[in-house]
Amino acid sequence: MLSAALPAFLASLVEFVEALTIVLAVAATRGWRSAGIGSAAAVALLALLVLAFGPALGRVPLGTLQIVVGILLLFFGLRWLRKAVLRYAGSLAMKDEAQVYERRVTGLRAAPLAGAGFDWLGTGTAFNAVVLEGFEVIFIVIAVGATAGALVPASLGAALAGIVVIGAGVALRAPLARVPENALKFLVGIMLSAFGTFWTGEGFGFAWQGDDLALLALAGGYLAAAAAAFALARRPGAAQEAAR
Amino acid sequence: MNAVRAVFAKVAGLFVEDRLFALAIAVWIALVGGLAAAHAIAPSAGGVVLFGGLALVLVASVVAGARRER
Repeated sequence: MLSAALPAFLASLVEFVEALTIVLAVAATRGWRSAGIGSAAAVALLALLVLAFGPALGRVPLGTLQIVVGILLLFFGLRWLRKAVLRYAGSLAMKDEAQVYERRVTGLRAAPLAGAGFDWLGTGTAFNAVVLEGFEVIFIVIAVGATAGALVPASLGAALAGIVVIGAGVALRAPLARVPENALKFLVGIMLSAFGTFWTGEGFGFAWQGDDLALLALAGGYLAAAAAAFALARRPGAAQEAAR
Repeated sequence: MNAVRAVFAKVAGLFVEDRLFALAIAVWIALVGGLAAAHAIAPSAGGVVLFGGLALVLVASVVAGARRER
């Protein structure tokens, strides 16, 4: 159960932090009303999508579900892992939530407020951010939970991440720039890639030595591959920059 | 229509960032899946083959990406 809850928690933490940065930027420039309406509408849309398509998951044959979810997890997880390694290697800039926040604030301030009218820009910006990041959370919960029959632990993991991030955001009224986003993406990338390989292999009818324990071996294998990729790709001085 | 296209682009962006990397993953999965369907690969070895190819794709793509950024 923890094997579904932990990746869901860590991955959702990243997504909630990203959404929070934009919602806070909207709140700071356009007001909490726009940020609140946009976020609430997005949550309502996501809830509708889950209610509409969620029950259909139970009707998909397990083998098909394993292959589809496994392949999507591989695309998603390996993309995160690749990006995190390129950032550690110094080939891509580290993401800085404080910078993202400042950029958003500058952009939103440049557009005039509609006065007493409805603030489409602010509401739409918050809506877009929450829908997109929320969609990722839902995908991750379904991907790590549905195939293992662990939807409840995965959902609880994601919900806990939401509570932690929203709580911290409300308390600080600032983007959570100190969350080690790249380290989380690296870790989650390894976990999701391991899950993706495992489920795709199961769907193809492969037999894993040690059954579920093979997940640990796969995670170790991806860690080794990522370390090798980092060693081959790193720019001189990148490790010091990443540590800073 | 533009909004629908934008939503699709955003959803696709969750899974595909570097097209060559995504294509290499897709090709390897299709190849291993094809071999599995044709029973040309032992079930006990299939997982190792699937992982090995994907790990190589990851390493190659990171190295190529790093060279491009220099």
